[in-house]
Amino acid sequence: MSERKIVIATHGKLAEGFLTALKIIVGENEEISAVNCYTTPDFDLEQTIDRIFEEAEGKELFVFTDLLGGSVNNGFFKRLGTKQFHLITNTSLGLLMDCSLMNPDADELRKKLGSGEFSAVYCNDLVGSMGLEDDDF
Amino acid sequence: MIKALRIDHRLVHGQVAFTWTHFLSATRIIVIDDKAAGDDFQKMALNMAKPAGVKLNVFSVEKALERAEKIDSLNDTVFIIFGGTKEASRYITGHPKFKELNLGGITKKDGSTQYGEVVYLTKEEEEDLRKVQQTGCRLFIQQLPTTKKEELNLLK
Repeated sequence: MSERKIVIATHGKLAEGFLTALKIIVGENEEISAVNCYTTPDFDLEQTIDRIFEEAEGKELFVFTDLLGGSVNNGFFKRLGTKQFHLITNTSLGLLMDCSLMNPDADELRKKLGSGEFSAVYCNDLVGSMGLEDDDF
Repeated sequence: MIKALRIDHRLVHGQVAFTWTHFLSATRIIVIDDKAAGDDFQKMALNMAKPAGVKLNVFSVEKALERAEKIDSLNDTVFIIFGGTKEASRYITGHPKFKELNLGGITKKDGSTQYGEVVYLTKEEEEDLRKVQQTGCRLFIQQLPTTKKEELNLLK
């Protein structure tokens, strides 16, 4: 299997924020980098995306963005016709942790995303729905 | 089989639930903490925090000691989490057969001494851990599997 590279690209410093949270929870992972977009007035998305592809040359690239329909994701989406890479959006911390620890391939990732495990949850409805059985042995 | 023991005041949280559990290939997490064992909302939160497919028990020290032999002989790969030094000391001295105890997070208190990035011990907590060490169980400070493992010797 070829070497893997994970890029988190978001509006503002969310990408960097995801990376600092990952560092606390799972520790350092050199495969993962963050790209903060639109943090300066002269930010150029197309150039930034070009640079990401250059740096990932020869590696299997997974790009995680923040928002379906947002410009960062739109920018990457346009490249799906010409570049070989995986694009995932509406990224959550849990999903990134899972990718860092479990190293899923594209098929496994597709399955995990379909399971709803990483979507937002209305916790109030969980109250009382969980078994608190302690003695299972 | 018991794979690892850790003290962590946050009990089952991101680092424990995902990173350590994955690293240890644990299939069951047993939380030993009197306060959590008596708090249904805390128990629910812990259940929510555990990864899918991993079993979880939350026991008081007393209940855990009653089941100590059973816990030792479970087919699961077990990861035991204590809420604090008191729980760890009571369990390990009551069932003294462990080789090492990981000090994960022990919160800062008035008059506590810092031993690691997130490990602070009061005199009383040092005494708890000394009792643990006297059973032949080594102490080490390590936050994550990827961070440095530092031995702590309180018997010197």
